[in-house]
Formats: sequence, structure tokens, C-alpha cells
Amino acid sequence: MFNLFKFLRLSAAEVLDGDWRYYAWMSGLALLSLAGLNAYSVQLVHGLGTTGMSDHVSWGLYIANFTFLVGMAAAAVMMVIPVYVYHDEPLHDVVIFGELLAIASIVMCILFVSVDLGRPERVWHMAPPPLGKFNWPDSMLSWDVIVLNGYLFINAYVAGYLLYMKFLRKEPLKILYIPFVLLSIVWAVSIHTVTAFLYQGLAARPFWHSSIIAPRFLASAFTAGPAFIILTLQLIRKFTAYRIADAAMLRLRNVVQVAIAINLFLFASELFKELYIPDEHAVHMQYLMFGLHGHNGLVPWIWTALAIEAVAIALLMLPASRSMKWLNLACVFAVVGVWIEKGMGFIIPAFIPNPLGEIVEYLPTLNETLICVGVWAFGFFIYTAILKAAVPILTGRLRLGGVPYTAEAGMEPGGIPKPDFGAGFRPQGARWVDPGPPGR
Amino acid sequence: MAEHDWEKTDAFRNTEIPYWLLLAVSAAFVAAAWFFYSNRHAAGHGGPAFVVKPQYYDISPARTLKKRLETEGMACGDCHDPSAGPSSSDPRVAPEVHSKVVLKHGPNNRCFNCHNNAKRDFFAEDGGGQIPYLKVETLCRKCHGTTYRDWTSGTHGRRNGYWNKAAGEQKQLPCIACHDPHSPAFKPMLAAPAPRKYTAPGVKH
Amino acid sequence: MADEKDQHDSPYFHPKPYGSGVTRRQFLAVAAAGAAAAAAAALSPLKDLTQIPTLRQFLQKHYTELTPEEKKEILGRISAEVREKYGVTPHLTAQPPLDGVQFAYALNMGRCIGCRKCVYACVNENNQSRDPQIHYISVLEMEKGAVNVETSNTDYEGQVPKKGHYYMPVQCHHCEKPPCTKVCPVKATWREPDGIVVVDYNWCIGCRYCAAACPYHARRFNFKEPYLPKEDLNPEMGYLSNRPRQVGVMEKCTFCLHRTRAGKYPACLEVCPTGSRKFGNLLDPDSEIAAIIRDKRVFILKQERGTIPRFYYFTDV
Repeated sequence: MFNLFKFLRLSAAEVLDGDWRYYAWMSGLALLSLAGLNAYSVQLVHGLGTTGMSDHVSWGLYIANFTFLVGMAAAAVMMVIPVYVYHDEPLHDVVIFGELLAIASIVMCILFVSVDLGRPERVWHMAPPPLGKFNWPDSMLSWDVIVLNGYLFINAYVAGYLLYMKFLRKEPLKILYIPFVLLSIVWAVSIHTVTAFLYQGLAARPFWHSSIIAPRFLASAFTAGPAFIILTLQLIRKFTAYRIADAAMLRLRNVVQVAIAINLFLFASELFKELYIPDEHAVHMQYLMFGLHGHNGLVPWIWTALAIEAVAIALLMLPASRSMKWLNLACVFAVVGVWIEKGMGFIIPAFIPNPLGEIVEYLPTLNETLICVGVWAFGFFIYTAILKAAVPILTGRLRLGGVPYTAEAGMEPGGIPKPDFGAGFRPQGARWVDPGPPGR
Repeated sequence: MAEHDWEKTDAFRNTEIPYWLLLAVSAAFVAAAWFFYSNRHAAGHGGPAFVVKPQYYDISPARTLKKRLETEGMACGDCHDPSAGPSSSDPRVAPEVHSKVVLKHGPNNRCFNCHNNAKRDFFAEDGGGQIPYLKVETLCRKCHGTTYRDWTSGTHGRRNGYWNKAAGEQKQLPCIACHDPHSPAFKPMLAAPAPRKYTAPGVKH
Repeated sequence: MADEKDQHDSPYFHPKPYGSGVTRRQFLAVAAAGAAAAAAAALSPLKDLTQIPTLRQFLQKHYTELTPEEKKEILGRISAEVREKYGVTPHLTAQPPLDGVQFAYALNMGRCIGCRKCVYACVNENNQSRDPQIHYISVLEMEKGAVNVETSNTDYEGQVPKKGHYYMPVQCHHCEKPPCTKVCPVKATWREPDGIVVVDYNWCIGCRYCAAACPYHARRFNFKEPYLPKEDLNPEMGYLSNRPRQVGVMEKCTFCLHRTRAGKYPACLEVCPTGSRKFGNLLDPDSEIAAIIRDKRVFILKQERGTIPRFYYFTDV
């Protein structure tokens, strides 16, 4: 038990400790999160009228971000399967970063849904009877609540257990985590399938009422998620001592290659079906791609997204993207392209035109955008903090029996008072390195 | 596995936090606090609220029946001696006194198809009988049988009051409450205002 | 002395160059203070929050689970709130559904002239927000020759009917298989035994999934606090229908439940100048609605959606 407290205390100390770049990054994120909190306070007072949503377009940027982030959370499975089912070596060291990303993503998802509610204090109504009136199994939202929270728990448990065991320098018990990992494979697919079914089931919205939505969601999730993880791994490489082999990046690159190809293929399939012999329902795709009756608010968005994704897939297929520079560019494009295509390009066109043929366009307001920025910043904040504690545990520096290394502890390994150095001083070699045998 | 290469991680540990960062962060937080505090949106509705004028939901029927006609019947007796016999003038031509009547009742252009030539205060039943004013539907049904059938079953024409006749009175309107018997086609009316399209700031529709 | 010399000679020793930076602890302290101040300021708009629910309001159970005493207490509380806000004592009822009654509505497409009086009669009866403007009924101006909502228009003005067009008002169809009630995560909207689909405004969490699921664009959301002038309040109210709503909840046509369960016609029907609107009990063979289903050519809007509405469109023949 005391070891657990030590683990938490030392991890917390690690999170609070960094260099000026870390502090600048975290301060910036904190500032943006507070801006989001402020904008949300305004929304709580005045209602969702502070957003750009209307009775015609009743879901907007919040739900668009939610949809994208559920995909990001699900992408962890694309690392878990190779490692735990196929025993892929290069990815073995980095699979935990996917699980940690899932934690941060799910937190952001929950926040996005919460800020979208008109009456957030009534969330307890979703509790099962006798407390609330949880509409399971009829309502897909009820399924979503269950699977998202379950996925958060699974990932938090698995990652937490593995990190804790590493901290204790004990071998983790396979029975205590392998079943959960295998469960998370199925569960990850299910979170995004359930979210897709949310939309897919609505016969009233022909743009969504198509069997291809769930496969599209999974394909775009496995494009954006691993691409984002590649970028994160680059940063971990740059700023920490954690060794990440190029092979891991390249394996993830393979995943993104296949996923982005499938994603674009499925989009093309939708496009063909709508536009070859257009029926009444094709108006939504027409609005999105070409504009309708003079309304073309989304046209630049979708064409930009497609162009970006085209560049991304071209780069990814070329051997040039084996080099990190081009791979990074391709990954940034993949993430941004999927965000536009799955966010604005998927949620909004279903509402324009509305079931009665009326067209009311949607543009998020400043307040709404600030809340979105705030939630994203908070998610990044959490993810950075988690990684800040996790990486030293994984490298072995932060462990039970290791001397806590805080800059102001005044202690040097071995009990010698720590001297003060000026900026930029690099100590020589081995003297700084080993805190001594375990068990201190 | 990762090696104990803390030199790389810990090299930065020896750098102190520059003053300028502290100042920048403090300034940023203070500026943010000031911005947040002054970020108070105006409460209440912006702009004049839409006023629902009573004429938009005025329940009275399309025509205003003259009160005296409703209660006392037609005012034909004001000019016509009730005991006077049938008129001998051309039944298709309305006398000058009746010139305000615009007759556009389709092929029905004979005044005495509806008006009782012998008893001017009544309408004309087939075979010369008398239809009182308050039973005008008996007159209209002479030609508009299907409409009369629908009117009795409630399918045609407006009913007010109670759908549940056991709970209260169900009021039915006579034909001429809505249809001008001389030109029965409905006149176009001015539509009540269109819905205000909800627009967020900056969105054009 | 020797220690001092050793210390100075030690490769670890380096005098702290003051002025070039601050320690982490100092930075964290300042940053934490700044963040706390900014957080407090960030939350400051909450000062304007006027509508904080009381504990009783917060814990209120779902309408279908209320005991008669609880119902009475809640009705009393809401009446008091209305009296305080509008200065008018309402007559607030919570009538149960009638036995042997299945409500249905029919609209004569041959006779509707698109005058929109039904829209405003509904607004007047149901205490809807004037700003933001909420209308339960949308009147579509359709092009003759087809039933195509894509070429329809809701913002026509001027003299009606216009040549080449016919008119189709659309409101909640009170479907027999409503998609809106299926998707609600908290069962805040459900179908009553007499066919009316209702919303418990005190249970709705405002997620707007029902609005996405409705094929008829029938559901309205209170994006802002509804504004209703005192003089326009209709004091005859029903708990499930036209009592004043709050920000953040859904609402829609309720077939004027507070009127129809007392045996009266809905407000939209009473005002229609052409008598195009018909309402009644489907199970009563003498009612006009049963006659329409029996004798007239009836069709259903968007029938292929499978929602089985209780709102029929018909023509005279």
C-alpha cells in the first residue's frame, strides 16, 4: 500500500518537475484550458445559444470533436493487436503510449459530450433504475456511455498496472493484465462501432443512414490515431531518454498506409453511391461537395480535407516517408485531413438540408470554439502529464528504491549535497547516472 | 529496452527557469484573468422580440356575417313586401339595387336557383318549398351533395369546441360563415409572418 | 578551511549565478498562484447564473414514477414559480390519458391555404418563447406536381395561396414507433397510452439526440432562456404540455394535451379558416377522424421511414 502512495507521490513530483520548455508548454495549455472553462461558464449561464447551433443544425463542433476523439482512443488497438496477438517486437516498447493516449482521448470525449448537454446537472438521470432511467438497450447513447467508461477503466487499469509493476521492478502477472488487454481489443472496436451506430441508426438522416458508416469510422480512426502516435513518439524521442526504434514508427506507418487507403476508398464509395444516380437523399452530399442553392459553407472544408488526405496517402505510399521528416508531414496531414472529413464533413451535412428541405448553415461561434480549444488543451495537458510520469518509469529511472530526483531536493545520489550549476552545464558521464543498488 | 541514459533526460535539469518565462507566464495569467472577468455576455434577448399580433390567431371565420342577418334572417323584407308575388323580370339580371352583389358561382347564374322567388325571406327548396336562413345547408346541398355529406360527418368545414361531445358542446359553422354564397371561392388572404430563421452571429442564410 | 577549499575545487561546485533565472519551486509557486487567480476569474461569469435549481427540483423523479402526492406538490411548486415570474396564477393540470381514446390528426391538403394562423394560434396557446422564436408547426409551400420537400419553402410571405403551389403544415406526428423516444438516453420523452408523445421538461438533459432522430423536424430545443411577455401567458396549463419551459430542454407539439384530454380541440384546429384540420379519437367510429381514415384518400409523409405517424394528410375525395 505504501508503495502505491510512493508511486503516486513520486509520479506527481515527476510531473511537477521539468525544464523551461516543459513549464512553458504546460502553462500555455493551462491558460487555454482556463479560457475554455471561462467560455463554458458563459455557456452555463446563457445556454447553448452562445454556440452556432440551431434547431436545424442541432449538433455541431462539440459532437464533431467527440466523434474524432473516440476514433483516436480506439486507435490503441492497432498497436495492441500486433504486440499481444502477433508478438511484434518493435511495437512492444511503445504499445503503452497508445493506451495512455486512449485515456486522454476518452477524457476529452467525456468532456465534449458534457459541454454539449443543455442540462449537465441532470447527468445523473442516466443512472440505471431505481436512481435514474437509463434507456439501455434502446438508446445508442446509453451503449456509448457504457463502452466509453468501460474502455477508460480498462486502459487506465492496464497502463496503471504495468507502470506500477515497472516502478516496483517486479514482473507483472500475466493473468492480471493479458485478459484485459485482449478484452481491450474487442472493446476498442466496439467503442467506435457504437459511436458509429449512434449516427447510422437514424433513418431520419439519410446522410448517416448507411451501412458504410461504421467501417468508415474505423478506417479513419486507424488513420488518425497511429499517425498521432507516430508524432508523439517523435516527441518522446526528442525530449526523453526513452529509446524508440525506427522499426516501431515504420510498423505504425504500415498501419496508417492501409487505413488511409481504406478510408479514402470508402469515402469514394459513398460519393459514387450518392452521385451516380442521385435520388432525393443525395442533396446532403451535394451540399457538402458542391454547395446547394447558393449555400456552400462546407465546400472549401471538404475539398481541403480531401487534398490534404491525398497528399498524405501519396507521401505515405512513397518510400520517402521512411524518413522521419516526410513521415511527420504525412502524419500531420493525415490527422488534420481526417479531423475535417470526420468532424465538419460528417456531422454537419446530415443536417443540411433538414428533413423538411430547409437550409440553415452552421458556423461555430467564438465561445464555442474557445470551449473546444479548452477541452483539447486540457486533453494535451493530461496526456503530457501522464507521459511525463510514465517515461521515467519506463526507462527505469523512476523506481522504488531509486533516490527521488528533484532539482531542489538538495540531495545527490549517495547522500552528498547536490551542488548548484549554472544554466547549460553538462556534467561528465557516469557520476550522475547510477543511484546505486536497489533496496535503498 | 531503454538504457539508463539519464544524461539526456537530466541534462536540462541543470537549466534554471529563465526570468523572462516567469514574467511571461505571470503576465499571461493576469491578462487572462482580466479577460475572463470582463467576458460577460449581455443577458436577455438581443433585439426586439417578435410580437404575435392577435390577428395572426384570430379565430373568427373567414366571413363576417352581419349580425342582423344571423339573428333575424335576411333583410329582404325591408324592401320587398313579403306578400308580393314572384318577380317577372329576367331571372338572370340582378336589379340595380342588388348591383353590389358579384355573382361568380360557376354555372349557377340564376338568382332564383337559391333565392325563393315567392317568399323573399327564404331560400328556394326544390319544388318551391321554403328554406329558412338558419338552415342554409339544406339549400347548398341541393347541388353540393358530397360536400354536404362531408360537412355532416365533420370532414368538411371547421368545428370548434369539444371533439368529445360528451364533455362539451361542439360548434359547427354554417356554409356561409366561410363561403360567400354569391362568389364562394376563397379569397387569398395575407399570410401571417414567416418564421425567423435562427441565425448564429456571422452566419448568412 | 580544507572543506571549503575542497568544496570549491569539487567539480560539482559552481556558484549560483543570481539573476539568470528562478528555481522550479519559485516558478511553480508563481504559476500556481497565477493559475488560481485566472481560474477564479474564469468562473466569474457564473455570478450571472440566476436559475440554480433547489435540492427538491434537482432530485425530482421522472414523471411516470411520481406518486399522486408528489405530483400535487410539484404542480403547486410550478404554479408558485409561474405566479412569481409572470404575476398570473396558472391553472396547472396533470391529466392522465383517457380510456378508450387514441388520438389522431388529419390535415386536408386540398384545403390548406398556408395562412399560418395555426402556427400562431399554437404559439399563443402553448406559451412558447417569442425570442428565440419557437414554432412547433412548419408550413411548407410545396410545388404542385409532386410531394417533394426538397423543393419546398417555409419562408413565403404575402397573399396565399400562391399559384402553382399547395401547402402542407408539418408538426409532431406523434408516431406509433417514434424514433425520438427510442434514442432518448434518459427516457425523458415517451409515448403515452392515448398516443401523444410527451416530454418531461424536468427530466430532459438536453442532449438533442431526439432532434437528430426525428424525420419531421418536429422537436425544438431551448437554446436560450425562453422569453415570454407576461401579458401573453396562457394560464391554462398542463404539466406535460404548455407550462413555461426552461433553457436547455426540448419541447414540441403535444396535441394541446391540456385541452384535448379535457375533450377540447387543439388550438391549431380551432383557428384554421378553411377547416383543413381534423382531430379526434380514432376508436370512435362517429368521429370525423375515423370518417376520414375510412372514406378519404389518406397518405403519410415520409412513410418509408417506418415511424407510423398519427398525423394523416388527406384530400377531399
